[in-house]
Amino acid sequence: MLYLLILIIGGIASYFGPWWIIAPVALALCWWKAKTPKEAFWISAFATFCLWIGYATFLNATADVNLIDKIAEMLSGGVGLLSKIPKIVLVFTIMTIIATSIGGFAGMSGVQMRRYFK
Amino acid sequence: MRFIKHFWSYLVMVGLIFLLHQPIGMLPPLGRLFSPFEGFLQNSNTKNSLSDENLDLSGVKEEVKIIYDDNQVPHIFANNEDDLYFAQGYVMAKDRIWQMEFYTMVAAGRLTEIVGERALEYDRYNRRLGMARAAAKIAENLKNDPVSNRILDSYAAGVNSYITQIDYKNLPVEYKILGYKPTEWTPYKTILMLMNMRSTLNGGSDDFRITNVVDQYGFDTVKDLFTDYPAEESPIIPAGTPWNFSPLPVKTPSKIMASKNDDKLIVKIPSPAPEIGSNNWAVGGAKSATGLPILSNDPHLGLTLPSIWYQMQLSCPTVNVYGVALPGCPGIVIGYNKDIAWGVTNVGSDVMDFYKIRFNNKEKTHYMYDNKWKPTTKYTEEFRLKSGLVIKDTLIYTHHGPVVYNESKETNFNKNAPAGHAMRWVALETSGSDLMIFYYLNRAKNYDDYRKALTFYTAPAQNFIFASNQNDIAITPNGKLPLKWKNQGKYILDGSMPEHDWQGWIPAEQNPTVKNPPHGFVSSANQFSTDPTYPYYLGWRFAAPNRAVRINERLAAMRNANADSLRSILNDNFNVAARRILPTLIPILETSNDASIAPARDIIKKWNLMNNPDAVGATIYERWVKELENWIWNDEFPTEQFMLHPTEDRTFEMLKKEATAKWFDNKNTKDKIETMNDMVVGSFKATLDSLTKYNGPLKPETWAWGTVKNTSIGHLGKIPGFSRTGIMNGGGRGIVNATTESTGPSWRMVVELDKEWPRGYGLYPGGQSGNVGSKYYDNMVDKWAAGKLDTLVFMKNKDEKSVRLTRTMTIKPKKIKY
Repeated sequence: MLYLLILIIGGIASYFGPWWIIAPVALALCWWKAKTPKEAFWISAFATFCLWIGYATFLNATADVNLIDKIAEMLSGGVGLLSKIPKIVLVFTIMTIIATSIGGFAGMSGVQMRRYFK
Repeated sequence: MRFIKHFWSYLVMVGLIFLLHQPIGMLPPLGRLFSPFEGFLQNSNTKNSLSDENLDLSGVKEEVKIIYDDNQVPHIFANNEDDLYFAQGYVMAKDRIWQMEFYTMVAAGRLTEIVGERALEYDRYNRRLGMARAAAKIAENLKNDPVSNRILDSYAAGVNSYITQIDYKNLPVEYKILGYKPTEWTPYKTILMLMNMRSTLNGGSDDFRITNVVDQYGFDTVKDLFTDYPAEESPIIPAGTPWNFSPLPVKTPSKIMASKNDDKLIVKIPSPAPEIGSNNWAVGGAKSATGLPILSNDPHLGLTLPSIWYQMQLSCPTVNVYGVALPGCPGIVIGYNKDIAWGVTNVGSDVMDFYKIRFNNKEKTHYMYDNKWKPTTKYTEEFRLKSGLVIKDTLIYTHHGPVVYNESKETNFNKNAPAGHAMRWVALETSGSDLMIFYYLNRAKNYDDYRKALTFYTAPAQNFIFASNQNDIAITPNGKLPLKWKNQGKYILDGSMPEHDWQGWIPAEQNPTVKNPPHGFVSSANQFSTDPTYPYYLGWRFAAPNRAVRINERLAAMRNANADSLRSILNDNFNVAARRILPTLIPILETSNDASIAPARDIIKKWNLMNNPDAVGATIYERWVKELENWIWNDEFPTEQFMLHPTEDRTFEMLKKEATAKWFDNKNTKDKIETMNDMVVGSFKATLDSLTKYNGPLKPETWAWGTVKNTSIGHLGKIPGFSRTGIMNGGGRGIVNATTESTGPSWRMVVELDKEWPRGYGLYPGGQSGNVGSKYYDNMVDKWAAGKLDTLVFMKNKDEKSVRLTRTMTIKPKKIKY
């Protein structure tokens, strides 16, 4: 349930709001629904991950040009260790790290802050 | 403690968002950039991105229709000129705003603000050239020029109309990566863009390098090796064209350069770039199948993505023109209308000179001029780094112009100008309005209109070629050309002598020109404007004659020409230089019985002199002739000590006629006198060694010219994944198809004039969109590499139907609500 709420409300908010809007959404929903900080972290992280990677996959699939490859080349410069990693893996890994950490800590802080005030 | 226990995760989250929201050092703002909701993925174009649009914008007076064709070229139909240039600014910004701004930041020396400290020396150099100050003055002057002012304002309003409504999601991805936003467009920024062209085309000088040669070897050697006119040439204005004017008198002083220097001048001004040039030509009706002229133009510039050019049609009741525009500049720069077609190539005359300045003290408050101390003017330049840090620099001006470097420092960009050398540069001329030449050419109907348009132009001087459907063809090296005594500015001048100042300007109507020459064509390829009978001095060295020789040979032989015959010249890969020198070099190679060079020697002997993509002979020749040149000259004239080498023309003459010249000896070998044959054979071996080292043993695939040359089109901001590399094509330096490693034809156009309606063909190596996420970012590249041209859509009016028209953007005046 919490997962779905973060996914749907977070998705709508992200579509219109700034990129970090998922954080206050996860925070608020976890304040309301989550039981433990650990649960809040993982559910929020997973929901944010699904949202970002899901939307990114959709955008990439419908795009005329593969921008993910170009951004990966920008990061690796086409040489060295980073260029050995498949391009989409490199970009999705970065997205995953950002999405899970922002979402996870936001959800976790919702529960922790609720406990502080109660 | 309890607070931390409950709030640490919150603080971590806020900290992460803060860090990921902005660029840190070289790192882009990762969170924002990688978020699929706001970041780079939002720049992906889909099939639905290109559909009809209706916009209500304040700024237009009446409805404007912009019809896009299948190559995403906008055809703008407005009811008045203000709306026309507003719409031009709007659509240009929509496709190219990042590029437009980037060029202005380069010319203004403000790149540090967007890319950080690594651009500091480059910025310092551009500031010291004084382009921003001159641009500001020009923009100020143009406020008093009603037509220029109106166009510039309308254009800027259009750009700003786009900028104000763009949200982060839709920002070009480069802004997202570098973490900044577009700022307000102004007429000053348009002038900065034009400054960039002045700098690219006129911003080089070898004055320091040749002065070093004089200091070491004396004038006799320089007269012998650095001649004022090449042995082989085919000038733009055909020899024998009469000069129907009485020239202004110019007096040569007895002292023609600044006094000798004790040390080598460590100069940091780049040499004029030989690959930055262009071709244009027009054949008259007598040579064409239709009986009317055909015109062709291909400006050669550094190849970049987004492309330097943008195709468009501009139409309103006073004008209907098709061609290419420069990002950030109103009007069409190269193009055609119903009656005429025109194009440009760079003149390359000597318009950047240096004056040795004697200052009175360390503070440099005064300098010696005409036996008096004359005060300098000082400006403080501030460089804002991305980090917020501000670095200051003092710039000193004399009446000649800016002192480019006060002192030699290792970090000085380009390692160029030493203490006390002021620069006189045509690019800093603030009179006139370059835009007006294009304004009038866009509307020109005949030869007289063309001649009138030419009078408005300042710099960079261009060979303006012209053809009309009244069967006139013409070419004019045009722009403000300084009036100089012979060889003035070939060497460093003496800044204290009034006789060393530029003497004024060659009267515009006395610029060389030719109309309908008897041989039936006009052409230019950056070679000498005229033969030595022209009464004024323009410069001692122009681009090598090779392209011009080939173009003129082909045009002379041409009968019943059509657009395709001109296209075949655009793609001509014949190597004129090789034809000139190989008959001398090959017999020398045959004197060697070194078996290791035999396979390569056989290839070059059998080579058909075409720089085709699969030609191994072209690879060997191109690398060898460079190596040979270095072997001959770099011992006496080391480039690393800022010495200039003689031209290829002079080198070839020496190889052909002066086999025993002392310059063949390598003076770095103490106990041996090398001969010409030693140089030729030795450099051939060295070339093969180096080719083998980088490309493996001789094989047709790996040594193919296209592979070794590896033409690349780099991203303007040098973002690796946004570039195109490994483009297989032929051509090269000095070839009519002037595609080198990183420069080449940046727009190719052929126009068949017609009494009814002209037929235009063209393309450039890129695409209309500046968005790397659009397939129209580089869609013309492969076709360009293959030497093909698109048929251009030049509409008679907005109601014309064509299957190639894909979508319409309608701009209506925004209704003001009371």
